Amino acid sequence: MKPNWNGANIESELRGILAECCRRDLSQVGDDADLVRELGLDSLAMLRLLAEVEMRLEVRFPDSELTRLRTLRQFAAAIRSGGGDLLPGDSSGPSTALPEGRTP
Amino acid sequence: MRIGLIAMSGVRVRTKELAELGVTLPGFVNRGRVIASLPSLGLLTVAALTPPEVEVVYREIQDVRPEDALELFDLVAISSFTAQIDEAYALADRYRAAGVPVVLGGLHVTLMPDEAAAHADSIVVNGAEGAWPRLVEDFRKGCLKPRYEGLRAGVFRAPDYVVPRFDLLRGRPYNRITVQTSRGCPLHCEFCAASLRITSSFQQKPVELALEEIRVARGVTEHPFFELADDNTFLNKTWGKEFLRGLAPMGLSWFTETDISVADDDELLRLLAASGCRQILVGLESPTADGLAGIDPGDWKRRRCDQYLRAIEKIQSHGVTVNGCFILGLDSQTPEVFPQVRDFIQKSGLIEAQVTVLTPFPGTPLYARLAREGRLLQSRFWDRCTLFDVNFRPKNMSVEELESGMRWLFREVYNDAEYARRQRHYMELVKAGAGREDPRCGSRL
Ligand code: B12
Repeated sequence: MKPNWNGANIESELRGILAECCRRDLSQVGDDADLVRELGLDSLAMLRLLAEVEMRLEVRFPDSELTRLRTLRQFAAAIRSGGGDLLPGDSSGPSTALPEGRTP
Repeated sequence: MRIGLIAMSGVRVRTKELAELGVTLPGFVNRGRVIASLPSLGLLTVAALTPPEVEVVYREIQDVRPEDALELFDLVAISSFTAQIDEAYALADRYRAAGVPVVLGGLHVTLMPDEAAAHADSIVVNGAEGAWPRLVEDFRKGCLKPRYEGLRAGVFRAPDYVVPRFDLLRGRPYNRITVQTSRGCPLHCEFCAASLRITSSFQQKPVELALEEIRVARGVTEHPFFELADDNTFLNKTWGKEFLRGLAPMGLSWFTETDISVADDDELLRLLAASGCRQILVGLESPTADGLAGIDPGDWKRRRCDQYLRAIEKIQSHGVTVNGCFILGLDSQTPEVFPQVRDFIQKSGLIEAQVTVLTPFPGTPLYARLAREGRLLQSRFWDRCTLFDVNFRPKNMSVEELESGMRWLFREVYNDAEYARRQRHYMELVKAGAGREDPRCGSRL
């Protein structure tokens, strides 16, 4: 069964993932802190982080949101808003298959 | 004694429509923002070549605005690329009018020494190595010569080699630090205006020196992302593997420029990923073999063209992204090239693409040929040598077709949807395990 991400536990879950990925104590990093600046991430590192979150939480962020996601609160909101709640192939909802024209 | 080292910095586009379009395109703006703040490695090298008892002050051009009073020094040394050379000359003229002697050096000065000499008390051509210490000595004795010749070979050997003064960058907000491991490139592309023009042959730092520089440079920034200021880092695969083995334990993220042949060597690709290489920039130049005819004297790129797609896929599947560079306006290209480049970028899955226009930098074989053929739009257009402004008559299309085709392509390649598509593609590669050879993958970004 897929986890239900409507609850309030997303931020702490995300904080855990980030702390592990970045090997950093994130207790001082607020929900609204710009992660790129705070953690010194380059743009590719930010995408790797998003990919890691998608894998671990079994979600998928909308492609159009990828550049805008910079804070924990924005990550959490995108997950809660349902934009990222289903994986391709999940039969219980609308398809989020990759955009057309994507390379194999 | 106090020497002011002034770097010409920032990025430029002249054509108004393109500049306006550029700032609205996410893919374009992001790369511009990332690179706009790179330091001048040339001047950090000049600083290191300066005798230790002489004080050096490092400044970047935005620190030296025309409306401000000049910061005075005993001697001023200014570096040069072509696009901002007129600003460099204006600054040099101001200093000289204020009685401060000026030295000009760098790529543009090497390519156009006589022009530069009119704005300087002394010029240095080629690398600063082998010239700068003599110049400072002469200046102290009051016998500065009008011209010094730096080394074109043996630049990375004692006694001329020095570790650049990275410490001068401390406290400044750089998001990337540059380190050079090699100069020159044996491909000798006709248009190239990079370090190839200040060297007589390909020069490579011994692995230990390159690694030591990176160790020193990493001490000055909090989150260093390294960019190798090379033209072709992995020409020598044996050197490359030794370098990467030494780099891996440092836990860095880095970027460099090289050629497509890295895809030939699986071990090299594994080591690249394991060392934290996030992206390689490769001059693909044109999507079809015909378009590549005559680019380099050995026709190497044309022979490689049919392997481009497979090579890109292979490199990226190792977790190292490819930034593919294309040049518009090559002699063999027709207006068909614009959709061809767009299609190639989409089909290849390139994570990043850089599209520029053929630019006849002064002092290159391309400039000489186009001048001979009467195809330059003006004879002096240095502020337009930005890689985005058209300065010549293309062979198989009009100037207007080239300009409007380029704008069309920019909209196609750098718009929100395309940018998001490339980002998604990268995330899917990561999820599929690309770069898992990197022992830090998944546990450190
Ligand atoms: C880092 C970089 C930048 C940085 C530069 C930061 C800085 N202030 O130096 C930034 C991002 C700002 C930049 C901007 C631009 N860049 Co740029 N950039 C590079 C890059 C990747 C590396 C340059 C480098 O660090 N080289 C290593 C150092 C050690 O070499 P060096 O500077 O030549 O210095 C040696 C000698 O020249 C000499 N020397 C240099 N300065 C001086 C000064 C004195 C007094 C003395 C004695 C000696 C001396 O001694 C040094 C040691 O031997 C090269 C591509 C490449 N792979 O090389 C392109 C390159 C230099 N850039 C290029 C271009 C076109 C641009 C832009 C026009 C892009 C744009 N549209 O805006 C602008 C122009 C900016 C300008 N000032 O005019 C071209 C320049 C060609 C030319 N002949 O002018 C290059 C070669 C890339 C290319 N595709 O052709 N760039």
